[in-house]
Amino acid sequence: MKNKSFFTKSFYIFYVTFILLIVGAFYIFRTFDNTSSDIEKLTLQSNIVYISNIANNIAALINKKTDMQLMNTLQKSKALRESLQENLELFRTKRYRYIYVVQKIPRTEDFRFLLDGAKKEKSEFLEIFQPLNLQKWLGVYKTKEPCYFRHNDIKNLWLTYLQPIVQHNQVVAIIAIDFSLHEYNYMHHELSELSSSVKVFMSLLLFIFILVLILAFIDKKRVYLLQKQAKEIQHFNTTLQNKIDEEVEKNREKDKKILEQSRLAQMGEMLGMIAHQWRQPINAISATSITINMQAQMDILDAKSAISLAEKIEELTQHLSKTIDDFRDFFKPTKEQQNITYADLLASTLDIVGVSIQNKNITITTDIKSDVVFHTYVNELKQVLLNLIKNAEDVLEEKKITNAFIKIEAIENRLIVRDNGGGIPEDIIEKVFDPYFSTKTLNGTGLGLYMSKTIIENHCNGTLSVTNDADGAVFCIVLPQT
Amino acid sequence: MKLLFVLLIFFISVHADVYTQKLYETILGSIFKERPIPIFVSGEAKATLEKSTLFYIVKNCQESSVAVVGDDFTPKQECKNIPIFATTHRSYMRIEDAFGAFYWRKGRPQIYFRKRGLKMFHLNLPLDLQRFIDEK
Ligand SMILES: Nc1ncnc2c1ncn2[C@@H]1O[C@H](COP(=O)(O)OP(=O)(O)OP(=O)(O)O)[C@@H](O)[C@H]1O
Ligand SMILES: [Mg+2]
Repeated sequence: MKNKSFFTKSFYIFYVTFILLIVGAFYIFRTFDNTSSDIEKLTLQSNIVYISNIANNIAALINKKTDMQLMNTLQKSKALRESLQENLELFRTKRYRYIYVVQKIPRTEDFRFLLDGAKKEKSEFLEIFQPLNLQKWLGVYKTKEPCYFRHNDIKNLWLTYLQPIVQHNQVVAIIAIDFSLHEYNYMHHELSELSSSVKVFMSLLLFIFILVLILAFIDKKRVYLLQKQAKEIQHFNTTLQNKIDEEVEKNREKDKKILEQSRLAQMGEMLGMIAHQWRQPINAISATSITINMQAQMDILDAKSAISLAEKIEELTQHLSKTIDDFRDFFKPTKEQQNITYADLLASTLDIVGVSIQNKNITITTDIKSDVVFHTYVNELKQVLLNLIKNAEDVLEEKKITNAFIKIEAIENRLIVRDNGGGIPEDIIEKVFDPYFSTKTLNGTGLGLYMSKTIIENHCNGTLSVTNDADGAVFCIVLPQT
Repeated sequence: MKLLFVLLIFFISVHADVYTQKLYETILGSIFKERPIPIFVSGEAKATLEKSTLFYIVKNCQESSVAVVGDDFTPKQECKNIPIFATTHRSYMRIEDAFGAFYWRKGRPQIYFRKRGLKMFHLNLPLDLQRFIDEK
């Protein structure tokens, strides 16, 4: 959104600049046109001022040297004519192409040459002459004022300046000065060169501007594409995250299922253990009841011994009941974390499995060098320990190890369970924590270690690892200290 | 830019040249009726007249309808019956029988006709050229 507004903003800036540039260009062209026509006017004026001075001087000179009868005077004296013509020649330059003095032939509209300041193609004295723009020439005779006019039809001439020679308030002749086009063309050439360079410059500027505009547009497009890509990536990432979450969720479901399965399996085992636990008290109850029976038949059952025997049975049934409670507690998943030490954990676990293990001739020893109190899921932890003990028991039983033992050590925050069952073969040690991995052909679900690892590492934030030592497998639980 | 300038100058001069040719064609073409007009030419005008398709230049004065002459021309016996048209002021003045002239003076075209010459050869001027007849 921010980017978008930025782009529209910059676009407006470009747009406005573009308009300004075009307006500026038009303004410059207009000003230039005005200026060039001004220059033309100024040049014309300065030329006219200059030439009127010259023409005045020439007129004065001619007046001084001649009298009223200009034509007659000149006709009489060839020398005077020549000296005056030399004077005219002096003024003739590149700029002033022709300078000559003509006189109107009375009663006609033709003129005749009196003096000609030309070297080449010189007219003859009194040669007849038909000027163009005749009215202007006749006009000078009427107004007695100098005049000038432009040419469009005469080769190489720009304009003509006419200066009357006035004697006794009468125009006796006209000094005609024809301006060469050379000057005019030169000026025009310079101006048009200037104008063309201005035009080139302006169009270059416009071109550059348009180029910048196009580049900006391309860049905008590029940035847009980049943004689009970034968005796509982001979208991809979120969908990826979603997928991951989904997978994780699925995994969790699977774990739940697995947990259920393993719990069922453990139930079966538990029943076995309960059976072990109960055998001895049930035997004792049976023996007591037999004793009561025998004493009653032999009639030696007195009240005192009857009470004592009943109390014994009572005590034994209490024990049975307690065992059931213990097992029930054991399989209740803990909703909340509770405080426990390794010592308590071991005591309550061995309460349950201790008897069944000892019945299998396996020595179980504990060594507790830890009084750390953990705040954790106690029942789950018990199940882990139970699993480890069960696995050890399984391997010891399967391999029929003599002097079989299980040693449980607690050091600080570590709980180590070792046995002398020969360890886990190196080629499968990597896989024992995988779900459904089991080497047991009968009754092996392969979920025990997988569940244990999940409980320790995912729920209790600890680690569960396995190594082999000289005697057998060594499982190590490390719990975080709070 | 320079090239354009040169072209402009060139155009103007070419234009003037074409103008000269056009003037010869209108003047002579309105007086002499045959097409093309056989003309005898001497002097500067030759180059211009050669380009025109209206004229057909003959070497001999007698075969022509009109002799268009410049300063170098001297009236000969065989041209006696041929009307003469001058192309310079001087030749026009010198050859008194010349019926007319056309030349440039101070960048202005100068056209003149003499009554005497026109009469002599029974030439009729169209109306728009009659104002160039000099009255003497
Ligand atoms: N203490 C041990 N010594 C040697 N091998 C062991 C030991 N503990 C586990 N194993 C090996 O690891 C495998 C996986 O154990 P796990 O507890 O995950 O499954 P299981 O014991 O086979 O099945 P279940 O636990 O359901 O009876 C066992 O099959 C066994 O080969
Ligand atoms: Mg197991």
